[in-house]
Amino acid sequence: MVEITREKFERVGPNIEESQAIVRPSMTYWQDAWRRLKMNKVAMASLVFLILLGIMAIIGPYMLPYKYSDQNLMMTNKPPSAEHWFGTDYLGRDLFVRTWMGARISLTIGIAAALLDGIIGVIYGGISGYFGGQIDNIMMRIVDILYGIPYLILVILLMLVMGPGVVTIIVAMVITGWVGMARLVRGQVLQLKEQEFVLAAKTLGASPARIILKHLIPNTLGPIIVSITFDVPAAIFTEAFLSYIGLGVQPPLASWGTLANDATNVLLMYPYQLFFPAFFISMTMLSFNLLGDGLRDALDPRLRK
Amino acid sequence: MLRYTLERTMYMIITLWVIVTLTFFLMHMIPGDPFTSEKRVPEQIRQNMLAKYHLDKPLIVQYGYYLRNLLHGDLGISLKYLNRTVNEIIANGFPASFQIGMQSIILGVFLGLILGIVAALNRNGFWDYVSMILAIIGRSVPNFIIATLLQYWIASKLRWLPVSGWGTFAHTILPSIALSFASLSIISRLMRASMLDVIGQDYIKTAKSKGLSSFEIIWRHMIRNAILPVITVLGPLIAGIVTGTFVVERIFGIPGLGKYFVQSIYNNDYTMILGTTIFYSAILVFLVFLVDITYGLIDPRIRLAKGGK
Repeated sequence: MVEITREKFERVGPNIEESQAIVRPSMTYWQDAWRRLKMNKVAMASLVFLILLGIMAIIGPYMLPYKYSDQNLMMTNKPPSAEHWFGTDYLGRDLFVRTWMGARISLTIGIAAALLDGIIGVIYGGISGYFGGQIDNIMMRIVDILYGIPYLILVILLMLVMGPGVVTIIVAMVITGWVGMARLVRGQVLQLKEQEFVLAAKTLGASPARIILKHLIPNTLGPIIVSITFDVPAAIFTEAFLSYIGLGVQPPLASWGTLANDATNVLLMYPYQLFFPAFFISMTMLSFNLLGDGLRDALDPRLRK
Repeated sequence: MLRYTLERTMYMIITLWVIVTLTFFLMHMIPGDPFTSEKRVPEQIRQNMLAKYHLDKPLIVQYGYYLRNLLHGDLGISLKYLNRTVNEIIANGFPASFQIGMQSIILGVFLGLILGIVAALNRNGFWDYVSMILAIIGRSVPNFIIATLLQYWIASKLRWLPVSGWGTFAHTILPSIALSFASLSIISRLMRASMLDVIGQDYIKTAKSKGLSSFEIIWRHMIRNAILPVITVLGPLIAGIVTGTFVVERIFGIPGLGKYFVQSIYNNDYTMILGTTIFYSAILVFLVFLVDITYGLIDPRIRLAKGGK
């Protein structure tokens, strides 16, 4: 009979170190969002398309030896060929160069307007939501009234007063467009400001500006980015619409809206002229919308797997 | 509910006043006066013309005159179409725009709702893909491009419908379809999502176990609950359709108000722009008001929360 001694036993307790070790690399919120966005094929395809579009908007106008305003009356309304990849318009201007000039202007207007809308809306909504009470009441009543004014009609009026041009389009759209963002940010801030970390910051003596900018806004950045992504195609559409009714950028400058307008006049004879601006407006709006969908899913912590 | 309606009415009036004031002062910020482009006339005649239209008075007095005329429903005289009042031009052009607009709204809302319901009931089926494709087109292709393409294919190439003009019902079909695309796609997707939300609810299971027919479940329990969130987007959608008439009427050569509006922009016809802007804004603000009230009437939660206070 073998004696069973205490020494023969070994204590197998929970290994504290191993069970508490972090197996997966720790990820910040943004790394995690990026990881999830990468898994979304549709959103990534849209992102790639938009990046390519951005690159073409920069280098496209220099790829052929013409300027966007060069007229050649010997070569009007030519279909796509080796010399003119997208053909020429009724003044013999090269449509490849003009399409990418248009991309440059349409993208600039879309992104600039959406970003400015975002900045103004964030500041306004942040202040309104953080201070609450009477300030919030007055600021939001102003927003409610502005929100009731038909957007496109006001933009048209402002364009009439300020005169057509790229900068005035952006200004006109921003004057009317920031209201939606202000509402969104205010709602988010109202939810967040009751949480403990804000109280902690207040106790430590942080100023309201610091709390809004360093604590509240970063925590609502997800919805803000998503909203800006959706604002870009809306702004591109508005610009195209304005250019289409003759209030947008002025010739010889081209935007996709003016290109579409020029093409419609000769549509029956030369339908190819409408194809490129129509295709790029649609694809760009679609890509921004799909990217926005993807970002919304990726930036929402509740959908985290 | 009464309190809610009163509150909304007050907002509507304030919004309209802001629009009128803004439009008036914006118009007067444009340099020159409406007769700058006229041929050279003797100074005395010019003064008389200015006096006739009260343009020699200080701005604030003119504003008073304008408000007073507006309250009497008088929008002034067009500067381009001689001796025609803006009221006349609006009365001339509005019926056509109204018909196109109403047809597009009906088409967009009803077809959108039906498509959304069918898509949700046949999830991943044929109609679901149809609604998805329509949604992608409606979201990404601007209305003026849809209108141009419809005109090109259906009217000029296939010759099924008239290319442009106005008069018979056939003339209204293509413009209405072109305009309704955006709202159709948005409403069908929203309705689909909202229906899928409702389908998973417990009360549907209860209804099934009570032995209700599937038609009754869909009609009385699903659609009624699913339709609520869809109503909220009607306001912006209607705004999109109304402003969409500007380009669509131009493309299809319809003698509607939208065409006059765009023309008055080309012509710098200020009184006309002022009048039509105010008219359009009033319609839009009123429609959004109607949507708000309808929503309040239908959704008992809003009725109770706002009315019970």
